[in-house]
Amino acid sequence: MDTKVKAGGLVLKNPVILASGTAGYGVELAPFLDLNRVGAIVVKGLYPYERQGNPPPRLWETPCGLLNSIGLQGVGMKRFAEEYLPQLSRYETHIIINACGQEDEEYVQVVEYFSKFPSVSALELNLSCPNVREGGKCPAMWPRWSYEIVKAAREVTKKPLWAKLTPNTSSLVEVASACREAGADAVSLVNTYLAMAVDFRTRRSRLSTLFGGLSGPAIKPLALRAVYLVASSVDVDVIGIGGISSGEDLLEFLLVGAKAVQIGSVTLREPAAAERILEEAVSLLAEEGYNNFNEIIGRFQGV
Amino acid sequence: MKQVEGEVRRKFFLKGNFLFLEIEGNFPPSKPGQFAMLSPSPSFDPFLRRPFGILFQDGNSLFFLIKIIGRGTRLISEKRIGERISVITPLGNGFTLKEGKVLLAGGGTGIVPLVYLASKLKGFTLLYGAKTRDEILIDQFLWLKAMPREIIITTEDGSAGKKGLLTQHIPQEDFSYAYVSGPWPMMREFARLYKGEAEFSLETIMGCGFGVCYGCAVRVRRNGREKIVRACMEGPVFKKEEVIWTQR
Repeated sequence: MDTKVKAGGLVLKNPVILASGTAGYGVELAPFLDLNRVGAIVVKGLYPYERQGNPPPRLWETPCGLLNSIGLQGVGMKRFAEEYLPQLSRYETHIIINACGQEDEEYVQVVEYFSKFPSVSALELNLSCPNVREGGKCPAMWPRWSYEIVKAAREVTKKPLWAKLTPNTSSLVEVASACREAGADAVSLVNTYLAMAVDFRTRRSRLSTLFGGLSGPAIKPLALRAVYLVASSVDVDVIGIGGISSGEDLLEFLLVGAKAVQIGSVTLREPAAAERILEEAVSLLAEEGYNNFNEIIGRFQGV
Repeated sequence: MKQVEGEVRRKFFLKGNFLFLEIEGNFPPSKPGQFAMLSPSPSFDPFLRRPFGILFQDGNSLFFLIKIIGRGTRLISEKRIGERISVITPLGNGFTLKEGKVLLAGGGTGIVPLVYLASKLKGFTLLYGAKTRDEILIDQFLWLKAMPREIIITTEDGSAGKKGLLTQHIPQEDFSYAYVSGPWPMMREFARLYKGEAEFSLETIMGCGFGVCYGCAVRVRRNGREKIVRACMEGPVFKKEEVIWTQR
């Protein structure tokens, strides 16, 4: 079967992308998964500098998912380029950089830096990281702020530019639309849902932070609705993310309009999940008489 | 490290809510101090695997000693003989093997990696502490008694061996090296009292076990700098001078 799809300015060999934050810098998954078989890899979020992240504890398991407060620990853009990128670029797949910033200018720095690397296919702006400007709130909560960052990043790169959005806003559609206007080639949604876990015995948070981000199959129906809302009302490619754990999940996201999907938390329990999900989706499509993924994208018939 | 579909070969329940488990599969070789991630269920609830120190490996068999403490461990304990169980192994750095007169100090389930380590050592002193007699599982490791060793048992209530905490009975001899594994307060106290060289196997909440999620963070001191590292990749075994004991 022809598994190719076009998404966010790229031709992907298939619509299965490893999401940022659950695939490390890609190479960590190589013992388990043939990286040549995924459509793209979005590496763990990178700032211009190295970051320690939040103190432990950083994880709490919840029904069909987990809460995290990792806090974007990472090696920073230069160490990634020196220590991981050469190894990662040996695989026949797209490498997408997830660019982060505590200040707007930092996004631009990361985007500009990686624009010079031929091995980098695209940049995904993580508009869901805490920013100093609004006391830890993230840019993707507001259309105007998202527009400013995408616009500034757009000016320094010709590579495809994606924006990863938070669902923790009442203006998701407006934010996606603002990103499109500012020149984004795609929006990736959703990042984690803000949530909390407490221990009534100690009367404290289960995490070292007050809130964490909820992910996993628990959020799939919420994410599916978010993708549907944006894909059906904004003229922009949507990359679906949120609890996708099976081939059928993948096809549901394509059906409501996603051009491709990212596989996140399920990788933590099953490092080769992306390969399984692709195989399942391909055989489901064949069973139903489809010839490729494009025949299902956006073909949702409603109620 | 590899993900392998294993099969439950043997299991039995021991006093103190412990499960002895043998899983057979095409596992890569491991070394003492390394761990494996076991999947409690093929369903998504519970969602994550659980990390367990390897008790022993003999060719295609991995042995575990698991304290049943919650839903994940209970589901693992309910697997029947012949049932499939997904295992990712071996993970983590493992202990550094040292020559000479060594001390192994294990509190509670902390005994598990030390049993594996003991099987590779020529001689050792084992200091093994638990709350009560029921949680002392030394009878299960009869072969330990056939080795040149000294075993000191401690229980908090005095129902077996010496009464009190393990850390109140650290032998006042000179050891060339100590290996410590157990609950955090016990290890912290051990580190405070013990003056010689030692390494500690740390236990943390763990997400993936293979280095992608950064959930199993521990604060350590390296090259004079405080750093947050992953217990699953940079650990779980750390040198005494590296561990920052105030982190929780």
